[in-house]
Amino acid sequence: MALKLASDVKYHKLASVLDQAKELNFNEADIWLDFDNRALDLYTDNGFVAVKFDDYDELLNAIVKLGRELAFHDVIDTLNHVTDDLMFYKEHPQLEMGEEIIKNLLNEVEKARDELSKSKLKLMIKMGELPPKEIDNFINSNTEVKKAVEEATEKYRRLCWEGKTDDDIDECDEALPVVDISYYAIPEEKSIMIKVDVDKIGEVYRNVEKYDTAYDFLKAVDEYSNKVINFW
Amino acid sequence: MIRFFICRIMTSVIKINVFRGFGGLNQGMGDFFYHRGTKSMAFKLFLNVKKCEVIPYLESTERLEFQTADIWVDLEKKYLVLETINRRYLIDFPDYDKLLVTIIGIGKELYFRDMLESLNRAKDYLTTYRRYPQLLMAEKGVTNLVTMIERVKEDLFNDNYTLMLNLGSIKIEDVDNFIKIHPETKRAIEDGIERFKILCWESEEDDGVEDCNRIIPSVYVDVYTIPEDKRIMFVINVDQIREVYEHVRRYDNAYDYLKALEGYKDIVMSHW
Repeated sequence: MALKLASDVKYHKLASVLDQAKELNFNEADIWLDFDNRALDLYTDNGFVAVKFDDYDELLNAIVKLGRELAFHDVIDTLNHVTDDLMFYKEHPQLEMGEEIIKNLLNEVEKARDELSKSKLKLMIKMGELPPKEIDNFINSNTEVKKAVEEATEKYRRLCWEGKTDDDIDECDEALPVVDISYYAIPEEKSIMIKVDVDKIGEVYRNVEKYDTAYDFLKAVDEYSNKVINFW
Repeated sequence: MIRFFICRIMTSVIKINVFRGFGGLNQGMGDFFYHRGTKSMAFKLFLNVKKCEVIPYLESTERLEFQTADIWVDLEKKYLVLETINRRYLIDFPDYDKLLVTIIGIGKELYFRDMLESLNRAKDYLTTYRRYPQLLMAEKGVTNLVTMIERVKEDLFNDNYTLMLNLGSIKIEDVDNFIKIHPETKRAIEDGIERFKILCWESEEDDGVEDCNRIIPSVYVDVYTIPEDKRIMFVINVDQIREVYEHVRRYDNAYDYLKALEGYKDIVMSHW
């Protein structure tokens, strides 16, 4: 049991996608993946419940359904807030957007909402980041990553010479940017994505590992989750 | 009616007349102001404008005592009227060009601050206030939006936008007359009504189709003005269909433009 799937999930949201939750009595629950027991562990405000599944396919389906429901509503809520903020909560309602300044933005929000409702976006679960002490090891063990990070370090140093980083300008030749290595699970594709980001430069490397079966995928998720640090 | 004349402040550009003790104002674009016994029509431009937002464009207001003001314009007398909690300040301008420049300046200042706040809030929503931080949407749906917000903010800072004021809508009783004197709008409205009926047919069960043929959707006309271009824009809308036609009038100088605006104030009803 290592991966937290979602925190503070309201009863009605969970019950709408998980039949087993309907008969439970709680207001909110944190949901964890329990790979070994083929279960979702619910830590509720009314005690602990493990919801077990017959096989790993069912468990994966439940994760996809639940994740999509939560993420979908989360993003829709956010997009609605954005639209409201841009359109309705203006302090001076008589002032309108001249020409195209904001229409494109609102169109994009609308488009994002549309894509969401047509299920064009895939759910992604952020598992966490590799601990700092293991980052060097990871970089050095993969030549592609090593090359990408070295190139990014060059760019970072150029930014340093231009005074665009926080480093002392006299030490730009030695400056080393912070590197983050993040792990994401994409349940609908049964894949795990590893992403390398370099400070001030952004993403420099991405690799996706695909798995054939729900069992293999969830096992890998479980193993990676034990390796990373998460922040929630 | 005038009850008190308190003071008069003269500056090189504008004059400010201060009055005290008037009754409340009605919501509406056109409204009466009483000035030395004569009635004068004015309409509201901006609400709740902070003193710091006015000062850059009306320096002389720095010495006035107020925190926020509603700003009206009296086109006949070339006045901007600052309606504060305690007093009403009348600010006259030597000519219409200066009056127009001041309206644009204050409007853009307000829009800039207002829009910047909205954009920052929108960005915060997209980046920080997620309820389930571990659940993300793959691809770039939301990050694109954040990039776009940044781009719009840049446009704002670079002044790449034109101010547009929503004056309100033409009063219901005047819409028919407006259409009559602008026959070119008629065709677009008829098309809009046709589309409204199609929508109605598509949404109704079989027994409701007859009703669709009988329903006449409401038509409303929104009025906007773009002071920088000296334009007045009428947007004709059909219920459910929205905009079906845009009628624009452009004027050559500040006087013609502001006078034209004045001509519309009796038939336009503001929404705030």
